[in-house]
Amino acid sequence: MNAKEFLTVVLPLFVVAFFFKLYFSAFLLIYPGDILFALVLTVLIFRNSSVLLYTFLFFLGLLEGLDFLNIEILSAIYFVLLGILINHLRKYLTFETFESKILIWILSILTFLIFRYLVYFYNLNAPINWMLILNLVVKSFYYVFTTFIWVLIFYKILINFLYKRS
Amino acid sequence: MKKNKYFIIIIIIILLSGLWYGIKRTSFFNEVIGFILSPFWESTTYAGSKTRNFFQNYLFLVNLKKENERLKKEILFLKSQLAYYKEREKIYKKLEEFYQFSAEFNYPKIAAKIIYKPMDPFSGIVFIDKGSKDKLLPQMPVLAGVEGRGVALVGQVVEVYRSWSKVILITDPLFSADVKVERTGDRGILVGKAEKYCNLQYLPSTSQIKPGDEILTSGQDALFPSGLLIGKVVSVRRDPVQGMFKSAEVKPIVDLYNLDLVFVLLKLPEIPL
Repeated sequence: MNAKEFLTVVLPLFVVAFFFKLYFSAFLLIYPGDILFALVLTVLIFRNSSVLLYTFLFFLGLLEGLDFLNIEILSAIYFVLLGILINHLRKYLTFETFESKILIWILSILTFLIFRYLVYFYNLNAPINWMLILNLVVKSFYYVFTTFIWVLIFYKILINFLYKRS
Repeated sequence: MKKNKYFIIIIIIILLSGLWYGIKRTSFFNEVIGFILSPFWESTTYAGSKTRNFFQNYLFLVNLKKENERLKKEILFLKSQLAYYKEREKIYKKLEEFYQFSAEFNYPKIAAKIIYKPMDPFSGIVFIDKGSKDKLLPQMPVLAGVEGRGVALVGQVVEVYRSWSKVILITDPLFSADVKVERTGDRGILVGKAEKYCNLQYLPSTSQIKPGDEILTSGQDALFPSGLLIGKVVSVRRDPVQGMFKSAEVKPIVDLYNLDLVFVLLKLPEIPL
Protein backbone atom coordinates (compact mmCIF):
# COMPACT_ATOMS: atom_id res chain seq x y z
CA MET A 1 0.00 0.00 0.00
CA ASN A 2 1.47 3.32 -1.00
CA ALA A 3 0.84 6.73 0.55
CA LYS A 4 -1.49 7.84 -2.23
CA GLU A 5 -3.74 4.80 -1.82
CA PHE A 6 -3.67 5.23 1.89
CA LEU A 7 -4.63 8.91 1.82
CA THR A 8 -7.22 8.70 -0.96
CA VAL A 9 -8.89 5.36 -0.27
CA VAL A 10 -8.09 3.69 3.04
CA LEU A 11 -7.99 6.72 5.33
CA PRO A 12 -11.35 8.19 4.19
CA LEU A 13 -12.93 4.74 4.48
CA PHE A 14 -11.48 4.41 7.98
CA VAL A 15 -12.98 7.78 9.01
CA VAL A 16 -16.39 6.72 7.66
CA ALA A 17 -16.11 3.29 9.34
CA PHE A 18 -15.14 4.87 12.65
CA PHE A 19 -18.04 7.29 12.40
CA PHE A 20 -20.47 4.43 11.75
CA LYS A 21 -19.06 2.49 14.70
CA LEU A 22 -19.75 5.38 17.08
CA TYR A 23 -22.97 6.51 15.47
CA PHE A 24 -24.66 3.10 15.34
CA SER A 25 -23.73 2.37 18.96
CA ALA A 26 -25.44 5.60 20.07
CA PHE A 27 -28.34 5.44 17.63
CA LEU A 28 -29.36 1.77 17.73
CA LEU A 29 -28.07 1.04 21.26
CA ILE A 30 -26.89 -2.35 20.07
CA TYR A 31 -23.47 -3.66 19.13
CA PRO A 32 -22.98 -2.80 15.45
CA GLY A 33 -20.32 -5.47 14.86
CA ASP A 34 -16.54 -5.25 14.91
CA ILE A 35 -16.28 -2.59 12.20
CA LEU A 36 -12.57 -1.79 12.64
CA PHE A 37 -11.59 -5.46 12.54
CA ALA A 38 -13.72 -5.90 9.41
CA LEU A 39 -11.84 -3.01 7.79
CA VAL A 40 -8.52 -4.63 8.69
CA LEU A 41 -9.55 -7.96 7.14
CA THR A 42 -10.71 -6.32 3.93
CA VAL A 43 -7.62 -4.14 3.50
CA LEU A 44 -5.34 -7.15 4.13
CA ILE A 45 -6.98 -9.07 1.29
CA PHE A 46 -6.05 -6.33 -1.20
CA ARG A 47 -2.70 -5.14 0.06
CA ASN A 48 0.19 -6.92 1.74
CA SER A 49 3.41 -5.68 3.25
CA SER A 50 4.41 -2.07 3.68
CA VAL A 51 5.46 -0.01 6.67
CA LEU A 52 2.44 2.24 6.19
CA LEU A 53 0.08 -0.75 6.27
CA TYR A 54 1.60 -2.15 9.46
CA THR A 55 1.54 1.30 11.10
CA PHE A 56 -2.13 1.56 10.14
CA LEU A 57 -2.81 -1.92 11.55
CA PHE A 58 -1.04 -1.00 14.77
CA PHE A 59 -3.09 2.17 15.10
CA LEU A 60 -6.35 0.31 14.40
CA GLY A 61 -5.36 -2.26 17.01
CA LEU A 62 -4.90 0.51 19.57
CA LEU A 63 -8.31 1.94 18.69
CA GLU A 64 -9.89 -1.52 18.88
CA GLY A 65 -8.34 -2.11 22.30
CA LEU A 66 -9.57 1.22 23.58
CA ASP A 67 -13.05 -0.28 24.05
CA PHE A 68 -11.60 -2.69 26.63
CA LEU A 69 -9.29 -2.44 29.60
CA ASN A 70 -5.52 -2.83 29.35
CA ILE A 71 -5.43 -4.77 26.08
CA GLU A 72 -4.63 -1.88 23.72
CA ILE A 73 -1.04 -3.00 23.03
CA LEU A 74 -2.10 -6.64 22.89
CA SER A 75 -4.74 -5.99 20.23
CA ALA A 76 -2.33 -3.73 18.30
CA ILE A 77 0.25 -6.54 18.25
CA TYR A 78 -2.50 -8.99 17.27
CA PHE A 79 -3.48 -6.87 14.25
CA VAL A 80 0.13 -6.53 13.10
CA LEU A 81 0.72 -10.28 13.51
CA LEU A 82 -2.47 -10.96 11.56
CA GLY A 83 -1.11 -8.78 8.76
CA ILE A 84 2.18 -10.69 8.75
CA LEU A 85 0.37 -14.06 8.86
CA ILE A 86 -1.99 -13.26 5.98
CA ASN A 87 0.95 -11.92 3.98
CA HIS A 88 2.79 -15.18 4.66
CA LEU A 89 -0.26 -17.24 3.66
CA ARG A 90 -0.19 -15.68 0.20
CA LYS A 91 2.67 -18.01 -0.63
CA TYR A 92 0.50 -21.06 0.00
CA LEU A 93 -3.05 -19.91 -0.76
CA THR A 94 -4.45 -18.05 -3.70
CA PHE A 95 -6.71 -15.17 -2.77
CA GLU A 96 -8.08 -14.86 -6.27
CA THR A 97 -11.30 -16.80 -5.74
CA PHE A 98 -14.06 -15.34 -3.62
CA GLU A 99 -14.40 -18.64 -1.71
CA SER A 100 -10.81 -18.51 -0.52
CA LYS A 101 -11.31 -14.93 0.62
CA ILE A 102 -14.43 -15.94 2.56
CA LEU A 103 -12.48 -18.79 4.16
CA ILE A 104 -9.72 -16.44 5.32
CA TRP A 105 -12.23 -13.90 6.63
CA ILE A 106 -14.28 -16.43 8.57
CA LEU A 107 -11.17 -18.07 10.03
CA SER A 108 -9.76 -14.68 11.02
CA ILE A 109 -13.03 -13.58 12.66
CA LEU A 110 -13.26 -16.86 14.57
CA THR A 111 -9.64 -16.58 15.70
CA PHE A 112 -10.19 -13.04 16.91
CA LEU A 113 -13.35 -14.21 18.68
CA ILE A 114 -11.25 -16.81 20.51
CA PHE A 115 -8.79 -14.05 21.48
CA ARG A 116 -11.70 -12.04 22.87
CA TYR A 117 -13.01 -15.07 24.75
CA LEU A 118 -9.59 -15.52 26.35
CA VAL A 119 -9.71 -11.92 27.58
CA TYR A 120 -13.33 -12.35 28.70
CA PHE A 121 -12.77 -15.56 30.67
CA TYR A 122 -9.56 -14.18 32.15
CA ASN A 123 -11.61 -11.31 33.64
CA LEU A 124 -14.73 -13.29 34.51
CA ASN A 125 -15.27 -14.18 38.16
CA ALA A 126 -18.80 -15.53 37.88
CA PRO A 127 -19.51 -19.27 37.65
CA ILE A 128 -20.19 -20.63 34.19
CA ASN A 129 -23.64 -22.12 33.76
CA TRP A 130 -25.71 -23.24 30.78
CA MET A 131 -27.53 -19.91 30.51
CA LEU A 132 -24.22 -18.06 30.28
CA ILE A 133 -22.95 -20.50 27.66
CA LEU A 134 -26.18 -20.14 25.67
CA ASN A 135 -25.91 -16.35 25.78
CA LEU A 136 -22.27 -16.57 24.68
CA VAL A 137 -23.25 -18.76 21.74
CA VAL A 138 -25.89 -16.23 20.66
CA LYS A 139 -23.42 -13.34 21.11
CA SER A 140 -20.74 -15.20 19.15
CA PHE A 141 -23.10 -15.89 16.28
CA TYR A 142 -24.18 -12.25 16.28
CA TYR A 143 -20.56 -11.07 16.44
CA VAL A 144 -19.43 -13.28 13.54
CA PHE A 145 -22.50 -12.43 11.44
CA THR A 146 -22.36 -8.63 11.88
CA THR A 147 -18.59 -8.47 11.43
CA PHE A 148 -18.80 -10.59 8.29
CA ILE A 149 -21.51 -8.31 6.88
CA TRP A 150 -19.18 -5.33 7.41
CA VAL A 151 -16.35 -7.23 5.70
CA LEU A 152 -18.56 -7.75 2.66
CA ILE A 153 -19.59 -4.08 2.65
CA PHE A 154 -15.96 -2.90 2.80
CA TYR A 155 -14.98 -5.48 0.18
CA LYS A 156 -17.65 -4.15 -2.20
CA ILE A 157 -16.29 -0.62 -1.68
CA LEU A 158 -12.58 -1.40 -1.83
CA ILE A 159 -12.78 -3.70 -4.85
CA ASN A 160 -13.64 -0.63 -6.94
CA PHE A 161 -10.57 1.27 -5.78
CA LEU A 162 -7.85 -1.20 -4.92
CA TYR A 163 -8.44 -4.26 -7.08
CA LYS A 164 -7.78 -2.61 -10.45
CA ARG A 165 -4.56 -1.08 -9.27
CA SER A 166 -3.15 -4.28 -7.78
CA MET B 1 19.33 2.63 6.61
CA LYS B 2 15.59 3.14 6.23
CA LYS B 3 14.88 0.14 8.47
CA ASN B 4 17.24 1.57 11.10
CA LYS B 5 15.31 4.84 11.01
CA TYR B 6 12.01 3.06 11.69
CA PHE B 7 13.64 0.98 14.39
CA ILE B 8 14.94 4.12 16.13
CA ILE B 9 11.51 5.78 15.90
CA ILE B 10 9.85 2.70 17.44
CA ILE B 11 12.44 2.59 20.25
CA ILE B 12 11.87 6.32 20.96
CA ILE B 13 8.07 5.82 21.07
CA ILE B 14 8.42 2.84 23.42
CA LEU B 15 10.81 4.80 25.69
CA LEU B 16 8.46 7.81 25.70
CA SER B 17 5.49 5.57 26.55
CA GLY B 18 7.44 3.93 29.38
CA LEU B 19 8.50 7.32 30.72
CA TRP B 20 4.92 8.59 30.48
CA TYR B 21 3.60 5.52 32.32
CA GLY B 22 6.26 5.96 35.01
CA ILE B 23 5.22 9.55 35.65
CA LYS B 24 1.48 9.62 34.99
CA ARG B 25 0.50 5.94 35.46
CA THR B 26 -1.62 6.09 32.31
CA SER B 27 -1.17 4.88 28.77
CA PHE B 28 0.52 7.44 26.50
CA PHE B 29 -1.38 6.15 23.45
CA ASN B 30 -4.75 6.36 25.18
CA GLU B 31 -3.97 9.87 26.39
CA VAL B 32 -3.13 11.06 22.88
CA ILE B 33 -5.90 9.13 21.12
CA GLY B 34 -8.44 10.24 23.73
CA PHE B 35 -7.39 13.86 23.43
CA ILE B 36 -7.81 13.75 19.65
CA LEU B 37 -10.98 11.66 19.58
CA SER B 38 -12.92 13.07 22.56
CA PRO B 39 -14.74 15.72 20.49
CA PHE B 40 -15.44 13.10 17.80
CA TRP B 41 -16.81 10.61 20.35
CA GLU B 42 -18.95 13.27 21.95
CA SER B 43 -20.36 14.73 18.74
CA THR B 44 -21.06 11.34 17.14
CA THR B 45 -22.70 9.96 20.29
CA TYR B 46 -24.72 13.17 20.51
CA ALA B 47 -25.76 12.89 16.85
CA GLY B 48 -26.68 9.22 17.30
CA SER B 49 -28.76 9.79 20.43
CA LYS B 50 -30.43 12.83 18.87
CA THR B 51 -31.38 10.77 15.83
CA ARG B 52 -32.81 8.10 18.12
CA ASN B 53 -34.76 10.73 20.04
CA PHE B 54 -35.98 12.18 16.77
CA PHE B 55 -37.38 8.83 15.68
CA GLN B 56 -38.86 8.24 19.11
CA ASN B 57 -40.27 11.71 19.62
CA TYR B 58 -41.30 12.93 16.21
CA LEU B 59 -41.43 10.48 13.36
CA PHE B 60 -43.84 8.01 14.92
CA LEU B 61 -45.87 10.77 16.50
CA VAL B 62 -46.40 12.91 13.43
CA ASN B 63 -49.95 12.41 12.28
CA LEU B 64 -50.01 11.08 8.76
CA LYS B 65 -53.44 12.54 8.08
CA LYS B 66 -52.24 16.06 7.57
CA GLU B 67 -54.76 18.78 8.20
CA ASN B 68 -52.67 21.28 6.34
CA GLU B 69 -49.03 22.16 5.79
CA ARG B 70 -49.02 25.28 7.89
CA LEU B 71 -50.43 23.56 10.96
CA LYS B 72 -48.07 20.65 10.59
CA LYS B 73 -45.07 22.92 10.42
CA GLU B 74 -46.29 24.80 13.45
CA ILE B 75 -46.83 21.59 15.41
CA LEU B 76 -43.38 20.33 14.49
CA PHE B 77 -41.86 23.61 15.50
CA LEU B 78 -43.68 23.54 18.84
CA LYS B 79 -42.76 19.90 19.34
CA SER B 80 -39.13 20.61 18.71
CA GLN B 81 -39.29 23.38 21.27
CA LEU B 82 -41.11 21.12 23.69
CA ALA B 83 -38.57 18.32 23.18
CA TYR B 84 -35.78 20.80 23.83
CA TYR B 85 -37.38 21.96 27.08
CA LYS B 86 -38.23 18.40 28.08
CA GLU B 87 -34.61 17.46 27.59
CA ARG B 88 -33.53 20.40 29.74
CA GLU B 89 -36.13 19.53 32.34
CA LYS B 90 -35.01 15.91 32.37
CA ILE B 91 -31.40 16.91 33.06
CA TYR B 92 -32.53 19.44 35.67
CA LYS B 93 -34.73 16.85 37.40
CA LYS B 94 -31.93 14.31 37.36
CA LEU B 95 -29.54 16.80 38.94
CA GLU B 96 -32.16 17.92 41.45
CA GLU B 97 -33.04 14.36 42.44
CA PHE B 98 -29.45 13.37 42.61
CA TYR B 99 -28.40 16.18 44.91
CA GLN B 100 -31.55 15.74 46.99
CA PHE B 101 -31.14 12.01 47.52
CA SER B 102 -27.39 11.86 47.71
CA ALA B 103 -27.05 14.39 50.50
CA GLU B 104 -26.43 11.49 52.87
CA PHE B 105 -23.24 10.59 51.01
CA ASN B 106 -20.87 13.08 52.44
CA TYR B 107 -18.52 13.33 49.48
CA PRO B 108 -18.21 15.88 46.68
CA LYS B 109 -19.95 14.81 43.49
CA ILE B 110 -19.37 15.71 39.91
CA ALA B 111 -21.81 15.28 37.03
CA ALA B 112 -20.36 13.70 33.90
CA LYS B 113 -21.76 13.13 30.45
CA ILE B 114 -21.29 9.81 28.71
CA ILE B 115 -19.41 10.53 25.52
CA TYR B 116 -19.11 7.01 24.14
CA LYS B 117 -20.69 3.61 24.79
CA PRO B 118 -18.91 0.83 22.88
CA MET B 119 -21.91 -1.55 23.40
CA ASP B 120 -19.53 -4.50 23.24
CA PRO B 121 -21.11 -7.93 23.89
CA PHE B 122 -18.20 -9.07 26.07
CA SER B 123 -17.70 -6.02 28.29
CA GLY B 124 -19.53 -3.09 29.85
CA ILE B 125 -17.50 0.07 29.50
CA VAL B 126 -18.47 3.70 28.97
CA PHE B 127 -16.35 6.80 28.44
CA ILE B 128 -17.19 9.97 30.38
CA ASP B 129 -16.19 13.56 29.70
CA LYS B 130 -14.45 14.19 33.02
CA GLY B 131 -10.84 13.36 33.77
CA SER B 132 -7.89 14.14 36.00
CA LYS B 133 -8.37 17.88 35.47
CA ASP B 134 -11.70 17.46 37.29
CA LYS B 135 -9.94 15.61 40.16
CA LEU B 136 -11.14 12.16 39.16
CA LEU B 137 -9.14 9.16 40.30
CA PRO B 138 -9.34 5.46 39.50
CA GLN B 139 -11.71 3.39 41.68
CA MET B 140 -14.11 6.25 42.36
CA PRO B 141 -17.78 5.15 42.42
CA VAL B 142 -20.05 6.20 39.59
CA LEU B 143 -23.74 6.77 40.35
CA ALA B 144 -26.89 7.57 38.43
CA GLY B 145 -30.26 8.85 39.48
CA VAL B 146 -33.22 6.49 39.75
CA GLU B 147 -36.57 8.16 39.25
CA GLY B 148 -38.14 8.74 42.64
CA ARG B 149 -35.80 6.25 44.28
CA GLY B 150 -32.65 8.24 44.88
CA VAL B 151 -29.32 7.23 43.47
CA ALA B 152 -27.85 3.90 42.49
CA LEU B 153 -24.37 2.58 41.83
CA VAL B 154 -23.76 2.02 38.13
CA GLY B 155 -20.02 1.53 37.93
CA GLN B 156 -16.52 2.50 38.86
CA VAL B 157 -13.86 4.70 37.31
CA VAL B 158 -10.96 2.55 36.12
CA GLU B 159 -8.76 4.66 33.87
CA VAL B 160 -8.39 8.41 34.16
CA TYR B 161 -6.90 10.65 31.48
CA ARG B 162 -6.72 14.42 31.45
CA SER B 163 -10.11 15.18 29.92
CA TRP B 164 -11.87 11.81 29.85
CA SER B 165 -12.12 8.59 31.79
CA LYS B 166 -13.10 4.98 31.34
CA VAL B 167 -15.82 3.60 33.59
CA ILE B 168 -16.66 -0.07 34.02
CA LEU B 169 -20.35 -0.67 34.54
CA ILE B 170 -21.57 -3.09 37.18
CA THR B 171 -22.21 -5.62 34.40
CA ASP B 172 -18.57 -5.69 33.27
CA PRO B 173 -16.68 -8.93 34.09
CA LEU B 174 -14.00 -6.88 35.87
CA PHE B 175 -16.45 -5.27 38.28
CA SER B 176 -16.89 -6.57 41.82
CA ALA B 177 -18.29 -5.05 44.99
CA ASP B 178 -19.03 -6.11 48.54
CA VAL B 179 -22.82 -5.91 48.90
CA LYS B 180 -25.60 -6.81 51.29
CA VAL B 181 -29.23 -7.81 50.97
CA GLU B 182 -31.28 -4.96 52.39
CA ARG B 183 -34.01 -7.14 53.98
CA THR B 184 -31.86 -9.85 55.56
CA GLY B 185 -28.50 -8.11 55.90
CA ASP B 186 -26.64 -11.05 54.30
CA ARG B 187 -23.42 -10.09 52.61
CA GLY B 188 -22.04 -11.30 49.31
CA ILE B 189 -19.89 -10.32 46.37
CA LEU B 190 -21.52 -8.83 43.31
CA VAL B 191 -19.71 -9.47 40.02
CA GLY B 192 -20.54 -8.59 36.44
CA LYS B 193 -20.46 -11.05 33.56
CA ALA B 194 -21.24 -8.91 30.48
CA GLU B 195 -24.86 -10.01 30.68
CA LYS B 196 -28.11 -8.22 31.49
CA TYR B 197 -27.92 -9.42 35.10
CA CYS B 198 -25.05 -9.45 37.60
CA ASN B 199 -24.07 -12.38 39.77
CA LEU B 200 -24.31 -12.22 43.56
CA GLN B 201 -21.95 -14.81 45.02
CA TYR B 202 -20.86 -16.19 48.38
CA LEU B 203 -24.17 -15.64 50.15
CA PRO B 204 -24.50 -17.82 53.28
CA SER B 205 -26.37 -21.06 52.59
CA THR B 206 -28.79 -20.13 55.39
CA SER B 207 -29.66 -16.84 53.74
CA GLN B 208 -33.39 -16.15 53.36
CA ILE B 209 -32.83 -14.06 50.24
CA LYS B 210 -35.68 -14.18 47.72
CA PRO B 211 -36.53 -12.61 44.37
CA GLY B 212 -37.46 -8.94 44.70
CA ASP B 213 -34.99 -8.22 47.52
CA GLU B 214 -32.96 -5.06 47.07
CA ILE B 215 -29.18 -5.15 46.98
CA LEU B 216 -27.11 -2.36 48.51
CA THR B 217 -23.40 -1.75 48.89
CA SER B 218 -22.11 -2.86 52.28
CA GLY B 219 -19.24 -0.36 52.49
CA GLN B 220 -16.91 -3.15 53.68
CA ASP B 221 -14.77 -3.12 50.56
CA ALA B 222 -13.54 0.41 51.36
CA LEU B 223 -14.35 1.44 47.79
CA PHE B 224 -18.06 2.21 47.82
CA PRO B 225 -19.93 3.97 50.62
CA SER B 226 -22.51 1.75 52.31
CA GLY B 227 -26.18 1.95 51.43
CA LEU B 228 -25.90 2.61 47.69
CA LEU B 229 -28.71 0.88 45.84
CA ILE B 230 -27.57 -1.48 43.08
CA GLY B 231 -30.42 -3.69 41.96
CA LYS B 232 -33.06 -6.28 42.69
CA VAL B 233 -32.75 -10.04 43.03
CA VAL B 234 -34.25 -11.91 40.10
CA SER B 235 -33.50 -15.52 41.02
CA VAL B 236 -31.72 -17.45 43.76
CA ARG B 237 -29.98 -20.83 43.60
CA ARG B 238 -27.34 -22.85 45.38
CA ASP B 239 -23.85 -21.96 44.18
CA PRO B 240 -22.97 -24.61 41.57
CA VAL B 241 -19.24 -24.37 42.33
CA GLN B 242 -19.20 -23.99 46.10
CA GLY B 243 -22.17 -25.85 47.60
CA MET B 244 -21.98 -24.14 50.98
CA PHE B 245 -22.98 -20.82 49.45
CA LYS B 246 -26.01 -19.47 47.68
CA SER B 247 -25.84 -17.28 44.62
CA ALA B 248 -28.36 -14.98 42.98
CA GLU B 249 -28.94 -13.05 39.80
CA VAL B 250 -29.35 -9.31 40.28
CA LYS B 251 -31.03 -6.96 37.84
CA PRO B 252 -29.48 -3.45 37.92
CA ILE B 253 -31.99 -0.85 39.08
CA VAL B 254 -30.73 1.61 36.46
CA ASP B 255 -31.22 0.99 32.76
CA LEU B 256 -27.54 0.86 31.81
CA TYR B 257 -28.25 0.99 28.07
CA ASN B 258 -29.95 4.38 28.31
CA LEU B 259 -27.44 6.12 30.54
CA ASP B 260 -26.51 9.59 29.41
CA LEU B 261 -25.65 11.41 32.61
CA VAL B 262 -23.78 9.96 35.59
CA PHE B 263 -22.30 11.31 38.80
CA VAL B 264 -18.85 10.52 40.07
CA LEU B 265 -18.48 10.44 43.81
CA LEU B 266 -15.11 12.03 44.56
CA LYS B 267 -14.39 9.48 47.23
CA LEU B 268 -10.82 8.38 47.69
CA PRO B 269 -10.44 4.63 48.15
CA GLU B 270 -9.65 3.76 51.75
CA ILE B 271 -7.11 1.22 50.58
CA PRO B 272 -3.88 2.05 48.70
CA LEU B 273 -4.32 2.28 44.92
